[in-house]
Amino acid sequence: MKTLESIEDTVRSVLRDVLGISRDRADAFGPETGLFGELPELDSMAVAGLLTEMEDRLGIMIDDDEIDADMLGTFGALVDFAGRKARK
Amino acid sequence: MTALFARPTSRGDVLSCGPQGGPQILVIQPLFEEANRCRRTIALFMRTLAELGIGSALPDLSGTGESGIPLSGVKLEDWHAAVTSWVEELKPAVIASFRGGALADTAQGIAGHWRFAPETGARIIRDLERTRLASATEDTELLAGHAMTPAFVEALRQASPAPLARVRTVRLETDALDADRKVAGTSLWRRAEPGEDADLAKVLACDLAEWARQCAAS
Repeated sequence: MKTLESIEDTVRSVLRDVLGISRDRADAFGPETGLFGELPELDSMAVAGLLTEMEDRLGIMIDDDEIDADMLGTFGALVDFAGRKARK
Repeated sequence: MTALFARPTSRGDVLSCGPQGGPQILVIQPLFEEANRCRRTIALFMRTLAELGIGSALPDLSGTGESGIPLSGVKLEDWHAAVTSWVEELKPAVIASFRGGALADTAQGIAGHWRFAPETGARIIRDLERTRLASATEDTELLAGHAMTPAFVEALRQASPAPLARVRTVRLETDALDADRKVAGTSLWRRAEPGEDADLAKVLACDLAEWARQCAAS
């Protein structure tokens, strides 16, 4: 089973790779860092790629009805969501 | 750096690179937006092949890129027919497909099929549907900006890379799925801003060149 730390690392690297943001910027993300609506790189075109890449790397399936503004709202919320899915 | 040029075929000009005398590779691009995101890296891949003495051709499937045919009238069979005719005209030794290009890479008389990060139609359609969901437009005629018939969407959704006699699959090391080889690199097809991965292009071109040589020798 993946630990929450390794899931957080994976989510961070997905954000870095999909949105093309620097390692320094991604490493500075904390639980309260705003994502959807705050991070200019994360627009609606990027959301699909972000979620699909998370599925690939974590080996999870995300249903469309699980996708909402809350789970994409902050880095912490996205890691929590990924953690719940990956540890099921 | 080796220049890209347009090679005329019965289905229009095809972007090509490298010597036309030696072995040829037919490159089938990713589908839809993924093609734009990967285009620069695929061009670098073709240039590296040229430096290795291998020519390559990168056609646009009907309804994509600069094909000039509206996607709204395209069927999945059209893509298979187009690949078959390019194979007859360009006589490639191997077909190299990227991502969803592997859904249209079947053709007779090919020594081998090389695939990078091949993807199922179901996941490609799901990606488009998610993009539509996230952009919250009311336009139900379009799927992430693409006008496709419902029958074509369903045919794509059912499609998977065909199990063929001689296939080599290469994936990124971050990909959880099985592959003949895993390589370091970026999943450019998901990048919101188009980028390039020159190292990945080189690694892939060398892998393909070596494998095509093995296919030709046996």
